[in-house]
Amino acid sequence: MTRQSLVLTVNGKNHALDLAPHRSLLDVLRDELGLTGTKKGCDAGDCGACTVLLDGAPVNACLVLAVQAGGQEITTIEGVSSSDGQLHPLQEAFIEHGAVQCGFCTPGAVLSLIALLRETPRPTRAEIQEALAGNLCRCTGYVQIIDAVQSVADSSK
Amino acid sequence: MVYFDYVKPPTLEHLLEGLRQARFEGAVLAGGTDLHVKIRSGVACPRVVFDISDLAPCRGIVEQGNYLRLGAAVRMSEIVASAAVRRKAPALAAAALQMSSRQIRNRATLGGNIVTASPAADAVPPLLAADATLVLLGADGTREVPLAEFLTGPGKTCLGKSEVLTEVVIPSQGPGCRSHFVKVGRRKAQAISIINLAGRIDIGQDGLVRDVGIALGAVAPTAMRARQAEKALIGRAPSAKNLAEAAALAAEECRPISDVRATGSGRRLLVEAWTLRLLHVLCETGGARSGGRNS
Repeated sequence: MTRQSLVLTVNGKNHALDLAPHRSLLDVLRDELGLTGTKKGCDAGDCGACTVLLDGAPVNACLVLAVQAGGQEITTIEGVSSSDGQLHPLQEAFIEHGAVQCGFCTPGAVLSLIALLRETPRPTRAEIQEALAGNLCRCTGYVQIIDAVQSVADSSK
Repeated sequence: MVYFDYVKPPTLEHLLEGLRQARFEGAVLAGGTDLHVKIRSGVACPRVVFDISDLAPCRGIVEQGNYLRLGAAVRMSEIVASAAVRRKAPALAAAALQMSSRQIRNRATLGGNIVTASPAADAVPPLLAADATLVLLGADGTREVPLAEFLTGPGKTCLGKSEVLTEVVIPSQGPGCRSHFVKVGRRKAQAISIINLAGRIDIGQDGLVRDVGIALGAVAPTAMRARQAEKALIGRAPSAKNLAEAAALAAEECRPISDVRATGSGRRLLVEAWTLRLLHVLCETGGARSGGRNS
């Protein structure tokens, strides 16, 4: 097994790494870069807890090899608040609407929905449900999450 | 955990040479949504993984005469976004849109969905109904194989160990034709299909069925064409009685098994009900609600 050197660009910061190629982007984010906001749920692409944005598109970080993500812009939950620590408006709305229960699905859900809002600033409930379909919430908090997204969409009128 | 080397071949020639050198221990990585899961669970243990996700000859969506050529590494999200696919192969676009989740569609590829050879693969019935062929590249050059012959069993294909699927060639849907896809699953997203089906139909000026293709998934060892049902429709009027007869034939000729998702007899009932609905949608008879993606 040959290790590979590469640069990962995460939340605008470059990280030079030397990695075994079998390691998933998820494991490297958590264990090498300490970005543990990205959660490890099923490790098989079912639950969406590890959702990150690759060049703006939501993907399951467990199904991407870290060596495949070189040269792409990676956004994790740590990168969505502003540099002064101000939460993203969608994160504020999650709190406001009680959309965070245990919190395990929250980082992935927020990233999926930020991607949606960039593409579709005023989504319908059906569009929100569709964008959220790959993020499982076992606390049954979907209604609050959808309400939170709609409130952000409404306030940006 | 299985350790492997990672190679990103710059050309198809490099890929073939790499596969040859790896002998039986190389794996082709396109989207990785199946391969990584298989590696982690020990089902696959490649020594070298060849990443074709950026390999130009496997990345195109090209209209060529009466054919649409899709590279094996074209992602489901790219199929969904392609105006050419929506126009020339609308049932495939519909299947891609209903597959799994947005995260998976942003990675999963058409070639991967075919080569994995799940009997429930959603992209396969639309391709099978459209008589798609596959371009396979090996040391001795390319061969073009009909999809129906490529799939030989659950997880099994006729792809050689040092061969690679590079392109999927789909006869374009003509102006008078219609096609449709239906996925029946436990929920709308992230669900393996209990059954899936696709159809295309060409009805002549005389109102009679000129040509028809009906493909059923998850009801046999591979996705299959409902040939008896098709035969019963060609040259006949798409009347409610004829469509019902064809749907009954489709249910008769499928060979479903019982598994965690449904019983065999339940699948047979679904095939009859949804084939009927599919045919009504294709023939625009108004005899069914527009085909849904869920039961």
